Amino acid sequence: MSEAMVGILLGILGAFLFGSSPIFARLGLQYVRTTTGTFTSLLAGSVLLGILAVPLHAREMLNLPVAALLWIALLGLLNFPLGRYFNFTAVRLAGVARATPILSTSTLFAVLFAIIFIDETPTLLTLIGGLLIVGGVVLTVSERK
Amino acid sequence: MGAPAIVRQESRRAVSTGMAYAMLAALCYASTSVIARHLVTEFTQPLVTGFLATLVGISVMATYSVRDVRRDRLAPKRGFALMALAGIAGTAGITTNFFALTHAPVATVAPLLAASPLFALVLTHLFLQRLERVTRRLWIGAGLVVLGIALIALSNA
Repeated sequence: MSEAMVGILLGILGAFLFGSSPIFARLGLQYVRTTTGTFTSLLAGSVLLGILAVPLHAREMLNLPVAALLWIALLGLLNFPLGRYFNFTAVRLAGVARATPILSTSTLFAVLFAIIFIDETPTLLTLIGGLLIVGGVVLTVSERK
Repeated sequence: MGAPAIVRQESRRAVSTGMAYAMLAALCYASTSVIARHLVTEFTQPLVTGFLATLVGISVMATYSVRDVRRDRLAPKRGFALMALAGIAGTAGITTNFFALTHAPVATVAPLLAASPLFALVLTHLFLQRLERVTRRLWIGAGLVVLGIALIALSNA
């Protein structure tokens, strides 16, 4: 099997795993509160990451500069207690089918942040992509059934 | 107003609130992707960043979820197992994507990850029929979002 094909198969597997996460969350949040569910999911995810990261990069972790640690703290704060908690609350209240496309607009927001704060210039493809995302979200949000 | 109408209105309100939360989550994830890009290009590996950021997340989450975790201690074990699977699947998805990037170019891998909402919809249709319905409008909406993300990923590749 070619190197690129391995990459494609891993990419598809990654998308499948990432797409299955809200399904488990939707089912699990029938039994536990969102805060409890977020904490449990973080704990399980960190064990998996720890198994991979600690043996490979333990020394690097201990030698990180303070600036990096501060950025990591901000990242951890925004991504998990806030991002994931909001994500799971959205899945519990609106359902997977409505919440997932809206969550995917993070790509569009990331592009907007890059244009506003880093002065990046959007390409024509980026603009068309942005319009498609907005159109998709409008369809999702206006669904009343 | 009859009882079914009130229930329907409350249910619609819950859905609207849920979609607002989804938008807030998207904003959080967008800002973290900018921070994560800075970290992995200037300081360290994605695995290190992910692991240490998760530890920060757990520490903060532990302080304000301790009361709810105590209240839920008698909840069915199935709930905890499913939430653990949600965490493992999400983390494994992102990690697998990092490994995919070591084998194939971003232009190939990024649009594949963008397809995750379609996988979510297919799995919802297969396994969550009791809880929610995936209408034609939601399929088209998710399809447009996926196409849009794929175009943005390609333009930045």
